Amino acid sequence: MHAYAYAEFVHEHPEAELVAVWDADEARGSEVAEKYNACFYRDLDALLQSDVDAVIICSENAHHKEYVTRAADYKKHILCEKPIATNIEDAIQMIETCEANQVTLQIAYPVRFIPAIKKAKEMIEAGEIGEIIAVNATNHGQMPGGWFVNRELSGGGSATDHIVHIMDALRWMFQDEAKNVYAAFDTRFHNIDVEDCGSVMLEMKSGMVVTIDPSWSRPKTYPTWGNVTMKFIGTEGSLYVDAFKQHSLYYNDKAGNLEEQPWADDMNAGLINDFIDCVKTGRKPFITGEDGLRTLEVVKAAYLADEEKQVVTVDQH
Amino acid sequence: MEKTLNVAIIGTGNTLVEHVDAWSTISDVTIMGILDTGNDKTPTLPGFTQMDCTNDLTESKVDVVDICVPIEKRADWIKQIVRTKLPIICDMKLGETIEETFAVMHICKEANIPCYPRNDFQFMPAFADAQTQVADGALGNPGVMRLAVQSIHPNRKANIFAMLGTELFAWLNETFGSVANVMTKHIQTKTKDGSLIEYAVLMLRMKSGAIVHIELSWAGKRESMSFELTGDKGMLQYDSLESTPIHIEKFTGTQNNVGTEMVLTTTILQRQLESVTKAVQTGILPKWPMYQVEAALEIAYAANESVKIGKPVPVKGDI
Repeated sequence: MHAYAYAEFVHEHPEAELVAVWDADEARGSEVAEKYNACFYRDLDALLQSDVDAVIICSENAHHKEYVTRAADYKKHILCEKPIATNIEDAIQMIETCEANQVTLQIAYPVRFIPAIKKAKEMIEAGEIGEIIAVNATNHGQMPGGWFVNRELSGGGSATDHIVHIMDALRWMFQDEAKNVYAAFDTRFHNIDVEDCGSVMLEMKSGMVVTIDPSWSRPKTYPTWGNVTMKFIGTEGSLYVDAFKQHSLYYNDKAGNLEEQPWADDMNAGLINDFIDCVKTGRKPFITGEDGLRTLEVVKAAYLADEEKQVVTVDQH
Repeated sequence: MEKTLNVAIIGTGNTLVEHVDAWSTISDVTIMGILDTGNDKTPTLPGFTQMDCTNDLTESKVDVVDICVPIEKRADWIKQIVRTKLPIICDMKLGETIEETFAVMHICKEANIPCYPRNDFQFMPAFADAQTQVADGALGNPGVMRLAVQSIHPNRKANIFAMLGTELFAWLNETFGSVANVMTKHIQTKTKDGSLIEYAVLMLRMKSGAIVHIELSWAGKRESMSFELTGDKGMLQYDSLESTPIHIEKFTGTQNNVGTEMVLTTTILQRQLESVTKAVQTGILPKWPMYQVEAALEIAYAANESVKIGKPVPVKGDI
């Protein structure tokens, strides 16, 4: 989903260069390589043997483990799309392999770089609404299709796709972990084999109550891809943030639709710039493999809760 | 020409005046008398017969009694009026707690008198319109619904599910059918200055399979309500905070930015009372008979139980 944006921002970065592309879809990969004057590799090992410093992995979720561990074995620093993996064991192995090879493993959670989210975090940390007792969050979207709805490749549907974004943002904002979770998922919007909607209710270790709606429930006529919204209830006030509210509306008669045209700073640029800085300076990544593991644990617990129709404890590995 | 409906109104303060004004606009209605319970300072109401006690109700030719007393007095007054055997019009929130509401409802049922519970959500245009659109298939197969109601804390011990949830649960039942189970979290705390805050979130699974998220909030200084209803054919959205047609900015004074409430030609109360009038006159059940209160209360009860045990709880009954 984000690969094209990442490519663009690496290309734009004054101290980085997009030099190589590998894609199992050769036609697609070659097109991107040509656009950025990069080298297209048919063989992934050949790319990893080259002198690239870092790789960005935007493959199907089920392939994250293979590509991350191979890249790590070749001593390449890695930015890996979310979710980190499709199962806990793979995630742990990815983290361990990167540690053993002393390479960076950063997980792509661009929500942390949305200006409105950063500002909301600052305001909350400044105590503007007191202690937070509850968060009511959404990460809605339209059904993306493709491998996202193939369980073998994605690991799950909208729950896998969207819970992690909110969960990571909240872990970052509050330095808190999920204690238990209750969830209900279903396939009610599309004729697909994975869940496309649901609701998640969490209790954090601090006692804070969190609800997340990760549904692919935006209709085809929705003016944008989806949303990230969070309503924070505090002891002294409430704060509502709509992460993508900074947009103009374009009533497009040519195309026969209504479009949101965002003008805020691009979250993907923030993520890429941060990763590049991490590689250049050798500092600890802003978003670690462990961050990816923690959000995956919540997703897996949520699936279990839905299956068992009960509240489930979130285990940390 | 419809038979004239003779109404008696029991209430106090500005609410009593509001009800008198609303009834006064409805044709074929005669206000036989008002009984000021005297709890609040009531502006003078000239031209209306002042009743002193419930005996006056049975001695006059009253067809129906509109009870519009404060919620903390509602249960007591309903129990009194039930003895007169006269039909009752009352806010759907019959009591402050679930137990009290159940008790009052059972008294009405056992007395076998017609009871016409008023539900604001039935006649709030956005909610009424959404209900019609859902029935007409605007959403297609319902998917995920998100509903939220916020009000100012009553500043006394009361049950948030009974007081803030009942009417919304009844609307939900009427619009999307029966609820299968509910999982709830509820938080109570205080601000630095000691003001009470309560916040509850409910996750409901409908018997149809649709998933519903409800936020009930007594954490804030303003009233608001919203919905987002989604299905495989479309989505309906409404937010009262974004639907005010008039915004005024004052350059001096403490209240600088003001938005209007709903601007309606006929108020929600007038619409409710017109509907009840028609029901009483024609003998046809109103859209919100007492069984809706019972079904809504079962959701409130289950939500309360879920908070106590920390688990999802099945909801009794079927619509």
